[in-house]
Amino acid sequence: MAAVAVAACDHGFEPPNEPTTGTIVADIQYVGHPDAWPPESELRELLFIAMRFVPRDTSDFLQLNRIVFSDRLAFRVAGERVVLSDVPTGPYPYAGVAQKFGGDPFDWRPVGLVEDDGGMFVVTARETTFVTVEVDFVHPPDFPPDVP
Amino acid sequence: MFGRITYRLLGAACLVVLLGPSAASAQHGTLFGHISDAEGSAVPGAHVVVQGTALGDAASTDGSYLIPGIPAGMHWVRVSAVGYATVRRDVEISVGDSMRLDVTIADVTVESDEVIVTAARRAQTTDGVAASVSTLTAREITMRNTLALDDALRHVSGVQVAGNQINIRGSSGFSYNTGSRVLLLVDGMPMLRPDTEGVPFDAVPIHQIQRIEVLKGPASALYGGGALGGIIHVITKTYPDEPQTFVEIYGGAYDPPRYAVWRRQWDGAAAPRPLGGLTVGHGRPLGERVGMWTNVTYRYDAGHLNMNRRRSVQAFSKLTWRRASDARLDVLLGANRRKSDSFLFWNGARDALNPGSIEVGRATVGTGSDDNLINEMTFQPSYSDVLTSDLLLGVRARFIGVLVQALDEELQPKPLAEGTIGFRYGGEVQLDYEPASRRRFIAGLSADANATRSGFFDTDDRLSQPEAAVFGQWEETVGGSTRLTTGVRFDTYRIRAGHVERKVSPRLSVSVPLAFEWSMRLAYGEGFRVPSVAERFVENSDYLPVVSNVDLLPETSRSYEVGVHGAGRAPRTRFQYRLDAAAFWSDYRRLIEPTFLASRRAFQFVNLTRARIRGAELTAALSTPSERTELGIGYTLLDARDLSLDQPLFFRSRHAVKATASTRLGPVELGADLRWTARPERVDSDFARFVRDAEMIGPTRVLDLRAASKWRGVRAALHVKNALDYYYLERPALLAPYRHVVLQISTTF
Repeated sequence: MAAVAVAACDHGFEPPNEPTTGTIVADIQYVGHPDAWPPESELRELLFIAMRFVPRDTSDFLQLNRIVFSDRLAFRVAGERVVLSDVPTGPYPYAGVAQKFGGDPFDWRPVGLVEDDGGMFVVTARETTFVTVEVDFVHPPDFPPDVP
Repeated sequence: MFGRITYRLLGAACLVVLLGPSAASAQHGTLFGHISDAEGSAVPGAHVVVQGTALGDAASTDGSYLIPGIPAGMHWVRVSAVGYATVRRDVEISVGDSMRLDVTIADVTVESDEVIVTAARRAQTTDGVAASVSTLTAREITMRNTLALDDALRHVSGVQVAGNQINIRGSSGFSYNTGSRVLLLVDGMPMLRPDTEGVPFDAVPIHQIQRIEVLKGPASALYGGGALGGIIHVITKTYPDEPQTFVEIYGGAYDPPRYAVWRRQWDGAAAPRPLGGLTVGHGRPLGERVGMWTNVTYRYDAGHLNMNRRRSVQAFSKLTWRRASDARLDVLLGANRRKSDSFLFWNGARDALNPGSIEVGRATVGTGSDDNLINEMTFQPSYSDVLTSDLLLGVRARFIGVLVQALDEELQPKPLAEGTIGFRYGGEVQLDYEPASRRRFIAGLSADANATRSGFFDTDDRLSQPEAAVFGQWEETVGGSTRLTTGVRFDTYRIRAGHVERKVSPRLSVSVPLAFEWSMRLAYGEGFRVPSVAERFVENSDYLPVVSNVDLLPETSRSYEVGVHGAGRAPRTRFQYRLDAAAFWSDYRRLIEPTFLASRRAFQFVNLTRARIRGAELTAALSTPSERTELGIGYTLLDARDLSLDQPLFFRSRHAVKATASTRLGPVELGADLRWTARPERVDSDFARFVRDAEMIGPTRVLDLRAASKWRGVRAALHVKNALDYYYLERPALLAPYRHVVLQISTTF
């Protein structure tokens, strides 16, 4: 009993010392390149985003404290690799490429989602998480998503 | 009585004659006598055992016993029976002599820890039990200031508690508090919640408990579905001979959490968090043959986590009517009202004191805590009657009702239509027939049904899983004292309209006395568990996204065990010892586990896998003659594997140690209890999809200290729980209680 008591002197579970982060590497492919790209007037912004929640409507795209996103993606390319570093650890149940197609702040839509393993992934401390996204401007995913 | 003894003596004499001079000269003697209670009534079935030998007898219906062939010399004789204090006598047997030993045993609210009632649906002494059974006495429960049943079970070897889920020898991992592979019995009757099939830990107030027996391993052949992993059997106290009042008050506080990063995120963390309670119990005879025990308990616990407060009132009564010396009616009545925040999962390892949140659907927000008002009611009458000298009748019934209402932001209950309402009711009839002293038959019928409707289920219908069973058991003592027990139970469940599940559960066990005070056991048994209503129908995203699976099938198991048991006085000392060693092996099929379905972004209970759980367990206890100092230790080794994936099963620890020590130094009683569990070999990473850092889990190393003293009938005890302030998780994303100090003051008058 004494030996175990001594072993318990490490105080057990403790919070991580620093806010831990990891890295997301997203490989993005554009289906139907180059013909499927929308006209310039509908291509106001294009970002890779990873959300800590499943959005209920487009207003959820504005919860910026719970979203990580890339710099603007290149337009009219066949594919691109995006690296997001210093991403907070934890689960990301909804991620993909979002297109801003109009002038209204809510004119956003997803055009491709991370689909592997149900589209959910976990970023762990100091680890790199690889995901893939197929962007299809012609047949974008349903939004809001159909989840229970 | 005299005739019976004379008859037995004649039989013994004939035996000696038949065996001839060699036996007569074998330096043996005979012990005989009568076992009675304080009123002079016979105590049929009382066990008389000559310690250190395989010799013994069970008192017949007139209380008489006879033990021939005892080696000459000094012996230690033990007399035990359910409901009576165990008595020990030193006797000296002379060569060729027949010695009479009449023993009166006291009917107490006894701690007859030498008697087990769970393993064979009847009372038997521990040395004849062909199963692994641990017991917790009322004294052990009280001295630890145990607040509820799950607190008590944490100290039992081979038992782990994860949140509000009980795991015996690895049978359960962590299944989000839905479904239990362990069955709770209260005075012999199954008592699981109608909605979740979970164990209602507050069904019996802790001070009403006389003894808890924990049967490790499948017991479906005895008790049907739900007993796949084992049995928790709570035996309640019967009224005392004289009026007795018990009052206990306790209070204490949790230490502030150690880490500043956690304290910064919760204002309430800096101040000590109080907990306390008051229990008043009264027992008395109400007439010559009638008596009662009543307990009322109030508890408040501010909780060691934010939004984890709990307030409860519990009332319980047991009424007993002794219709005759061998017939009695018991009625248990319980009511429990609990208003609580339940902390479900944290907001990450750096914010472990606050509940997290996850948005998982279009219109719902999953939160890491819920506020509920829970009302539970139990009603359990039972009647036993010795119909003839060799036939005992037992009739039992039960009712448990549960009402669960969520609380709104003003902490007012929401309509019951949005919550859960569930009732479970049933009964059983059992006949014990003992045509000869070495042969016994048990047979019975049971039926059970529930009616549950819940806002969490994927249907507005009232759900029900009616079941019926017939069971039988045959015990035979052969070749001296080898006890052979075989039994079978046939269960039939209606899962839904037109879909009935049937299961035959056999068991076979042998108990063989060895030299001195040792016995060996071999056991085989099959078990099964029908999925709970909640596992099949829950469809909800309030806390975690879960979708229903109405096609779930029962899970099944086959188990084997070999063990040895010894108890008695250590050679050439007056130290008492008890030792039990067991090796066990269980194969599970169609094990139901919560699994993440990527296609639906939600969890679902599925018949997942084949699994094998094997291991070994060693428990030992040693005490000084006056029980001034007591030591106990238990070690459990588990190898739990998912055979489909060839990986360890989730949330099972390979090594677990429980230890206890207590001693008296003058007027002060000191004690310590240790729980040490290795980190689970494998953790469910699917939970971490939704909850930050939920894959983190570690070992458990908890030391509780206590000091108590009694002065003029008032007992004061100081408890330092988790004295080393060891931080650990009993289940994912939920920090277990850190150090807290409690002062307990009680008196009985």
